[in-house]
Amino acid sequence: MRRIAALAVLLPTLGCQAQHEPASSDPTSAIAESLSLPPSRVWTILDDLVLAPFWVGNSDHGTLFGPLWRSALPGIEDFVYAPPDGDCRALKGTIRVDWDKASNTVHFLSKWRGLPLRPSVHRTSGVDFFPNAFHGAPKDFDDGSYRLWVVLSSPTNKANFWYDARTLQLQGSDFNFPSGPPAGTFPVPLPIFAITGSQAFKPQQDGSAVHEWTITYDHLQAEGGFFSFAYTSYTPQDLCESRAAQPSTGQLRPYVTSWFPPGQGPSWDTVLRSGLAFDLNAEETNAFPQTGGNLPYVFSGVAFIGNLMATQGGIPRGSKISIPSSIQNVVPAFFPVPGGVDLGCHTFVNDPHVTAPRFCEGAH
Amino acid sequence: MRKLFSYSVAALAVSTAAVAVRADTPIADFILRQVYNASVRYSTTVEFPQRIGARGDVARGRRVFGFNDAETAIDNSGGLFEGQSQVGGTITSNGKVCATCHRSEAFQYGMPPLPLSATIPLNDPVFNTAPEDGADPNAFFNADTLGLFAYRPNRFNPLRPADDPFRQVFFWRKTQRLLNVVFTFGLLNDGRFREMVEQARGAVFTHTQNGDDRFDDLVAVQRLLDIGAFQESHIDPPELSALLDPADPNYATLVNDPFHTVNLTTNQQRLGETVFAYNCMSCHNMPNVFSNVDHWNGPPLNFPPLYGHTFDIGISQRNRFNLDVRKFDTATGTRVPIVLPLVTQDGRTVQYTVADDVGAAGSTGRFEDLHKFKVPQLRRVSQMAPYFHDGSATTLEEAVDYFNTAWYNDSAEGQLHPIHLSQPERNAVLAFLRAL
Repeated sequence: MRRIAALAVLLPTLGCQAQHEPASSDPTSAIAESLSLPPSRVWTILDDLVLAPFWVGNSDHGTLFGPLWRSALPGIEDFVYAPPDGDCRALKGTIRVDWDKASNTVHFLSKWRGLPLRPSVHRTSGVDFFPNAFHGAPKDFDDGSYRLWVVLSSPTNKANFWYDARTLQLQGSDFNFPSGPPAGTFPVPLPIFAITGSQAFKPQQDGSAVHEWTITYDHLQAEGGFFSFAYTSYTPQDLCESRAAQPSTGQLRPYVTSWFPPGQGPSWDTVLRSGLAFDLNAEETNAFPQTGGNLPYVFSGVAFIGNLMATQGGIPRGSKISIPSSIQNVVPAFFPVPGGVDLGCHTFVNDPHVTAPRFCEGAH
Repeated sequence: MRKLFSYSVAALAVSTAAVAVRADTPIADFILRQVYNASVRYSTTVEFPQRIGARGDVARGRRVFGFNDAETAIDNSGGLFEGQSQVGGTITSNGKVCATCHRSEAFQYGMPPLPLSATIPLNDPVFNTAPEDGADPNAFFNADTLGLFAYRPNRFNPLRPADDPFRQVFFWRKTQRLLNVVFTFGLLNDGRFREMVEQARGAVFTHTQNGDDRFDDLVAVQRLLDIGAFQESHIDPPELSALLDPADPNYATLVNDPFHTVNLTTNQQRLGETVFAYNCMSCHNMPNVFSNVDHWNGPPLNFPPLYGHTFDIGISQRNRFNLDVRKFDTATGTRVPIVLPLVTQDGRTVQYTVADDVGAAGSTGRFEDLHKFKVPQLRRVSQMAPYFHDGSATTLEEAVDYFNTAWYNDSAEGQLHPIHLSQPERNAVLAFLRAL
């Protein structure tokens, strides 16, 4: 209540700081008007108070400002990280994106509080880590860092995934077989999602961090421009464990392509129409010079702090979007974060669908 | 700056007077709803990314919908979804097809005048509402006398347990008429479906079978696309079709002149147009159709529900017919309150005891969506009685008069856009609406 009171009292005041527009008398207009100011690297009261995405401008020129919460947007089978002391109360991030088609720029400014300094992840195979031929992320790492992933959550893009006609095992997707699929395979079209991200960064001693970067408007790319994006999906690896009519009851495992070269990403207005989302992952810190600092396996699958801007209100603190709900086309798609977001928070594996009944053998 | 944090709630009420916080409105909820409402990147471009269009076949859709080819009679021989499902087991039908409730064009593909039993025999499947009504003892009265049917919006959600309150919550709603539905962002009264395939699938699951298990394998997507194409084909007046195609020579005219296709012949009607534009078009702003133009900027399935813009105008809270939305326990013959865990924008969970139609919140799970509904189109509105999602205005006059009441003006939307029509203005708006 105190926080909301502060919000209501303060936002009109902040509106008076806007340089180019008259002060607004209502809170939402006031915060929107404050976005006419240049982005600030300092953690401000707005970063404390922002509870939902704010959009101003249009597809050519505009700004998004929104909150990022623990485990608001974990992927299927993601390992959701928690601070070693089990205290998630201070965790928060904010993202401000300013885009301008005329200057061909999209600028990201992310600010963070409460980040553990050197995240370490140690998992147990078969318990909270599941080896995956189509996503070769490491099981363990120490002295890690963070990357912010930019996710196009659109489920309307599809690719063919090729399965061995005899074993029903996944062989790869169109992207694995640029010269055509292997003999004896058949295709299953499945949704794919584009992701790109920042370079690795580490927080200050107090757990705060600021990371900003700029990309081109006309082609989405990873920070630094070494790559554009990668496609990811959640697919059955054994088609026998999949149920086409009800995929949420079947096997669904992470799949990711290799990075695509620069210049192949969609333009920012397409990104905006594709369902924009963000997810901070804990990642290993290696330099990866061969991939320009980008992870060769694209992402670690160690989710931490994020949000889905492409839903009204975003995801509130303490809730997570359920990707199986989206796949199954059912609502409400929000569930409480299993590991919590306050004192006593803990790690968990999100919505694992590693194995399923062998539907093809009649085991319903 | 720090001092601001010490402001009391009383001071808050004063400082936010400019946003019309009412004494009887919880301040925090009001502000959170404002924050939530402002968090959407709506497009107001007259475009219809959700349209089925040529992906569906109108003639096939008509048959699946449950009409004969001439659309002169209901024919359920090709429209039922039943059989042996690998997921849901044996699926049987209660005899309903889409046309059971969406009757002929004479009724704008809605229900005939009430009571239904005056024109529909009692052995018609429309009166066979089990199992979706949960054997509610009010089901027959509500259907026959009020034209209201029970809907459980999340009945077929396999990711929640059967006793999950979101699977139990239900409401009594009238049948939506399908005229100009192609111009709608968000389908059904609460806009919970983003496009026609979702809507048709939801209707199939809700009405035509014996249990709560899904049977997607019996519901081919192409049949849903065909149903969607048939529903989209009902456009009146026909020149509204130009809105669907920016390349149409009349597109810009219809977009830029919101009343271009409205034929007004009297001064009272023309005054009504002015009154309507001033008082009603903050919501009814789709040019020439007068539904709502706001939608997420992109294809509908890229965005979790809701896709369109919904509003709380106080209809649910009025609950004119005292509709009972407690679950009827057939074992004990008693009613059991349903308590929904609704998430607020600041991350709290409110255990909300359902006492009226929860509106969009029943699908989104968001506290800020309580009592919100989409904006209906208004062409041929004088032939569309009863009005509102619960049919609580039986005449057009009652519907217009509602907006002059405290029920509207105290509602969330009414506080932002109050309406106080004089008698001449009221009569003029009615004259204008009758001309649509």
